[in-house]
Amino acid sequence: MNVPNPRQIDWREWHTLFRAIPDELVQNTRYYRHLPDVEWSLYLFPPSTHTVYGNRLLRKLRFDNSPAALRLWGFVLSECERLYRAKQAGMKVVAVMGDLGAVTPLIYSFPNTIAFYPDCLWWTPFLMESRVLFEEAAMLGLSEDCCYVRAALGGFARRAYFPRPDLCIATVGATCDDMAAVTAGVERLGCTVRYLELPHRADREKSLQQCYPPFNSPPQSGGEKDNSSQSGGEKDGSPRRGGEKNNRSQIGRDEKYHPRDELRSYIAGQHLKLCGWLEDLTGAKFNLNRYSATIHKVNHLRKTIADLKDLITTSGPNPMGALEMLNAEFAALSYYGDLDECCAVLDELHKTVEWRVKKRAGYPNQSVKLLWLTPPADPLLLNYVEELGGRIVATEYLINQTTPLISIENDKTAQLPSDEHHRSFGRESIFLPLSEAQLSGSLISSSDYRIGLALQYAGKSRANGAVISGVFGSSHCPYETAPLVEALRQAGIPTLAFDVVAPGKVRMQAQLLNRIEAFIEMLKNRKNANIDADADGDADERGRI
Amino acid sequence: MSDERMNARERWGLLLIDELTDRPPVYPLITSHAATVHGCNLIDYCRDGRVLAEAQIEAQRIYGQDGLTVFTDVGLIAEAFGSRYLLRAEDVPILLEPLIQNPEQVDDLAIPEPQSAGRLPVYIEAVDRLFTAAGDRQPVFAFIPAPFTTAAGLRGTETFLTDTILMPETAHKILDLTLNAALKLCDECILAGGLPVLVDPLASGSVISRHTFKEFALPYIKGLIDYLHRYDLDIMLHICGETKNILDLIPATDADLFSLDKLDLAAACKEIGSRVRLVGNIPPNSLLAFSGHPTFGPVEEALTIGMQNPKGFVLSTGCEVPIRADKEKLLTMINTAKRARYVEW
Amino acid sequence: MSSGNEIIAGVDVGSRSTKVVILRKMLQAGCQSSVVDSLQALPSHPEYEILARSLVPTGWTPQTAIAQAFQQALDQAGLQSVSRVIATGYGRSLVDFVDRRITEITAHARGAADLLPGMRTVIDIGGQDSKAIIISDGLVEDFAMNDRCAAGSGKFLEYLAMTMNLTVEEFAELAYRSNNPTNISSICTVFAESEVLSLLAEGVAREDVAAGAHKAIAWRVAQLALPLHPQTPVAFSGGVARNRCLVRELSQALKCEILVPPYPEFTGALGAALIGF
Repeated sequence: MNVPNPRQIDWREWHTLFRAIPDELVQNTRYYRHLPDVEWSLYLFPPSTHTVYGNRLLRKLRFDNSPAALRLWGFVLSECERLYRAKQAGMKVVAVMGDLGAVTPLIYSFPNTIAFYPDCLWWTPFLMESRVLFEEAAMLGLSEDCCYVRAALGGFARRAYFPRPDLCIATVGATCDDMAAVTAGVERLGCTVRYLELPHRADREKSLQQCYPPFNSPPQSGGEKDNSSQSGGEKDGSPRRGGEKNNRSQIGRDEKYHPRDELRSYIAGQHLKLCGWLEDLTGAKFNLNRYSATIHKVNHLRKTIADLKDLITTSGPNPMGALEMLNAEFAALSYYGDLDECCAVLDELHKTVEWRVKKRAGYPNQSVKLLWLTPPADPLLLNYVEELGGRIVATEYLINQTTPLISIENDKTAQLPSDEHHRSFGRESIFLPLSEAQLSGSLISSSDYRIGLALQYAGKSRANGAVISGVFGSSHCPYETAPLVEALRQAGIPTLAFDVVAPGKVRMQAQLLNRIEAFIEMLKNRKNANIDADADGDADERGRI
Repeated sequence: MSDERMNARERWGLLLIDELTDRPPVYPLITSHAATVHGCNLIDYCRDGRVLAEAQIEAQRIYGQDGLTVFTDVGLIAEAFGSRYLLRAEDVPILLEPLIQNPEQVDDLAIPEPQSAGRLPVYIEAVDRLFTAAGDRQPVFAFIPAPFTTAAGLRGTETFLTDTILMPETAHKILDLTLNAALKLCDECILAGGLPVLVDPLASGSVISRHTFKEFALPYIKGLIDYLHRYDLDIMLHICGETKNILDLIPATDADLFSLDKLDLAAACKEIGSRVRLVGNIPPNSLLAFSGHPTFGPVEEALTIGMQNPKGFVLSTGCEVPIRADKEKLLTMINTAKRARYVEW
Repeated sequence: MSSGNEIIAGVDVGSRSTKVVILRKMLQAGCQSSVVDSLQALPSHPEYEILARSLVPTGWTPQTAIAQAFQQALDQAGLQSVSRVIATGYGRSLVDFVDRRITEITAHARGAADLLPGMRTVIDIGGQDSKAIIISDGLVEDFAMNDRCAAGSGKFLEYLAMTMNLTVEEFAELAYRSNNPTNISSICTVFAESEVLSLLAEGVAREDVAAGAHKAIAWRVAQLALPLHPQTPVAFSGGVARNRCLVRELSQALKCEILVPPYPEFTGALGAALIGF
């Protein structure tokens, strides 16, 4: 494999380097390969192509210089057109809103059907350095006190960012409040939204085993009272940390637990409901073979992403940019509208990273290891950290529902449905493994679950510090950032928490960048002091994991 | 028309992926006329990227057309090579002295550097400023003189046309140079955020024969478009004047949009409309204050025909809006066109 | 990092003022002799001597202020040039004759640690933001900064002083006379301004209102610092530390003594220069 020395280059250099990419490669890099040679399905183009069409931030970003990264960027940035082309080609396009990366495998298992994630339009205003979508959302009632996902509402209203979906699904229950406001707005625009119900947010210590269901029915088994310290609070039941109070207030007064099995069945029932909608939409019956094949691909994709993350965490020099990794991780949500091609794109990226790790090749001058929590809406921030000498070694982007492998092969309960029992209760068992994965969802699980993950990632990656990029107005950020900060600091991991600044707010942006710079400077100085101390034979382990 | 939900960038974006929009983009070729509405003279407009950008922003504010345009004159690249042009306060630059007096000079010519040669940096600065100011809402079209037209500016129009007959090899050599210069300028314009538009007024049927077009203009236009297509850019080709005799050759250039001038729009739709998006073609002189031409009727007529075009349509002027066009007439044209609807949005 | 007898300048470009400090690194410890008499107030140091310091309002043309402040300092030191320049502050990117740029967090920590050895916490209230810095073994261990708005920064006091037709200095002295600061509940500067006007209209004493404004900002800064578990001793650096009322209120809010280094406005510039050693 001919892989250049890893470097991060700008859009100008990619524009020039692109000329050296062989024609055959450009012509053979296509999405929707099942469609015969349609000209529009090419996507291996440099960032400058997408700059011209309005993605202004690309002029400020730095990209990995491998063909695999170019392919990934081309694939990600062509998603908008791809969705329109899908409809033109007669495919069904399903919008999944809320914390729903978990159900996309089911959607893709129907013939000629793809899913997309309108919520991800949150990064469009940043990529375009534009307030157009926020202004549109504001006219429809969602302004700065709402999370950046409000851009999705702007996208629905303007109808120029994705096609009108054939089916639009969203969640109630353990979903983001802001997203709920967006879906309400989407309905007001005349778009029919169908809802899946998710269990409410889990309690702290109980999170890994038990969750709260959204209904008020009494627990059938395994229920128990939680009157005192089981919530993890003080003995008087009062909030212990910043996030606790809100966390508890969201889960309500019903202190009954439901066992995980019950919750799995409940979610599987929701999946069965979705299955029915998809059958109605496509006119095709659910097919277990097709579903199994899709799960195979999804598992492959998830495993590739997990391996990639692992390589990044454990490698010597940094083998891939944080932005490319963000793109890779978010592929697990809806596969950027083409599951097969998405797998191929990530396979190539994986090969490149693996090769680099084997050769101990990576970016120079990135020595401060960072754990990053919550996806930064502004891609510039990840680049900025790297430019300052930081390196993102681990991430927790609130999409844990898309990470577990779905164990369909081993699930004895999975049975082929028959037409006559098409809508009967019980057939949801097919979807139990999918439900199990969904129960890992960041918004279903508790703050403790995230804290546990954060500490685990920080330990594994030997991170020098952690960054938490919240979003002002986002309902989960305020109640989770505080306990995360405290837990990380208690573990001796310096932590910087901030709210990402909206596009166009230049002065506030400068303040934020200043804080990030100060943080990296602090970590570098501490690291250098530790190295000096080590050299003197007086190792100082402060700040180390 | 500020109540429109869709902005120009969104409208053009959908057009270029064959999607329905609320209405066709309305994009009269407002070039030097922007200097008039901005109140600056044309020497400043041609020599100062900031002034050019400000004038375009001002024109867009007044007229609300779909798209910003960076264009001063067709001699831009020829001047960067070394041809002498006279810049005038009240009119567009004119060629004073072509660079290539002797065909032997051709071998010694260097491709001008867009960052330093002639007024090319002005051009790039203007594109950059416009893109930075409004690139999320407005496409920025950077008009690039096509190789044939630049060759005429390097050699002198009549001499170059004679070359095509008497010294075709020399003509091709010059065209190779001008093609490469145009490629280089295109690259810089793209990096500044502009979408190149090729303008080839000298390739017009009013000036050259079908044979000359086929032999000396088309291959170089296609060369340029092929290069830009490799970057997946959608390219508009503008040829002024008569183009009836070469209309059937336009698809061979691979242009994604063809901006036509003195041509029957219905005939163009019929002949190439299933392969090329059409842009046109309100007569620019109808926008002069005392032209006596009606404005409303031709716009309605163009829309009626153009909106049926299978590959899509952009309502535009056949050529540049005259420097001293009547503001009210231009506004009437634009606002009339904006009332058209494919669908209610 | 460098050989002896080097002359190093620290340039701190703040939103309100630009400060320059020029140091000479001593060849031998203990042989310093200050060139500028007015600098005698700064403690002598065995490793360096301060040759000059200057302060110029940043105004609307920071580049001009930077050039002026730097030239003034050079003139004061009788120098044509320096060996190295380290820039800090919000406008550090505007210093084009620079060898290195550092954030004001690092600069203030370094400066305060040098002026007041043993400091564990540094509070700096700047024109644009405020920061609390925790120091351990001379290194920044943690920090917090306010953001989003003027509340909690020096601008807050400027606005409210203007509301009462006073200069910031007059406003501070007036406040210092109060023994009974009123409560100003509005965190937002705009709302605080109207609250101040209301209080005055209700007949609350001017000094109590002024002291209330100081108390509000002190408590806001304390809220910034407390999650970091600040350790004593606590230093207060930056020009706002000359404000006696704010020192008093901050001391009450943090429940500890607040130490102010001599010439607190030069802490950042000094720290920057020391980083160049």
